[in-house]
Amino acid sequence: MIEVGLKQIILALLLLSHELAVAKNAEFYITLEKNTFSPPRLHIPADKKVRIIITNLDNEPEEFDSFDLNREKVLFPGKKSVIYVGPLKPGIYEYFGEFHPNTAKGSIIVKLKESNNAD
Amino acid sequence: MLTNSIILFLRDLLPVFIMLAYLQALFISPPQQLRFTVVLSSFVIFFSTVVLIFYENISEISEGNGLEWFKIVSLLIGLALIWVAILNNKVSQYQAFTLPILIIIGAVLISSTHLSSLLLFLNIYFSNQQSVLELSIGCAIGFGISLSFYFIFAFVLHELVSMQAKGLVYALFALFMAGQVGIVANLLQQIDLLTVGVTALFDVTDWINESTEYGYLLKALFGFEASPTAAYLTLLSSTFTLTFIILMRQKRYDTAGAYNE
Repeated sequence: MIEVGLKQIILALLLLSHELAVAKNAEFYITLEKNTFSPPRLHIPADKKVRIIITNLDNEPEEFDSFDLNREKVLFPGKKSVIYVGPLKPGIYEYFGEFHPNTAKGSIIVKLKESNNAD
Repeated sequence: MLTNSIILFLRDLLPVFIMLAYLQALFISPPQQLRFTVVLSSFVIFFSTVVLIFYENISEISEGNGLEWFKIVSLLIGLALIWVAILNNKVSQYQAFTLPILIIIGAVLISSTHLSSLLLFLNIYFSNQQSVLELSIGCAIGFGISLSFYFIFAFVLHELVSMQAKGLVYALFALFMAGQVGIVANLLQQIDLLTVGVTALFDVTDWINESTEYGYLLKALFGFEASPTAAYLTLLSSTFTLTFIILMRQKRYDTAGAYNE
């Protein structure tokens, strides 16, 4: 009886910790396809750390680079890459693909109130 | 393509040349400098190529954070090896070639964090045979700018050392090392291991933009960032202070030792 109770408590704690972890860092998604980032403008909330998951659908690597965010990450083909950004002040933060800077570019728009994920 | 390849050379190759100029000026006697350069360059190219071959495998370690870990570990071990080399040797006098083994390993580790990314870019474009002529010209210009800067910078450092301004060169070298290692703070934030001091303290992008040629040069010289975080500045200042103290401490001991002799 006690064992069942412990298992339930542990399970509940694990679920709770998972829920807290998810709630702690909101997730946002960017896709790279044909050397172009989509969505071109990603909206994220101000003053919160967020988890950005970037999927490279192209068949060659790209390097995500942002001077505004101080982030740099190689995106391998067919793979998902994760970067954490923030907490950020409201504003526009530019990023680009280092290997295709003319086409692979976008911005992260930080707003005080959480709005739509993308334009 | 032309501009992009030049920028990538400035970003990734220039810091390696700057480090070479510092190491030659501070630790290697003039007769040994050519041999040192050849050995260091060979190891840097070899190790960076090995890293490039396993780049994707490395990236998959630790839930996709492998490259961040590789850079963090390489930069910290590289810095530590250079510190140990300084602490275990007289720095006020040029040493025999046996001295720089630790320095070479340290420099190779630090350089590979830059060059592996550049080699990845070159590998992609030359293998795809896209705009090969434009890319080749960009590479030649980028390499030429970096090499020219190296010769001028090495000459200036040599002159400063000759003018007994070694303290200034130590300060500049400590700043350079701090700039190299400061990036560790950003990498730790990127993989969510550092959660304190992650907000940018100020932003001077309107004055000096990191994406300009000046921005790349300043970044290569001392890790300039237009919008640094508190964590970055803390790591930068502490690395600078420790490196400078170690260099000056060894210099004082060497001077005292030479005086007593």
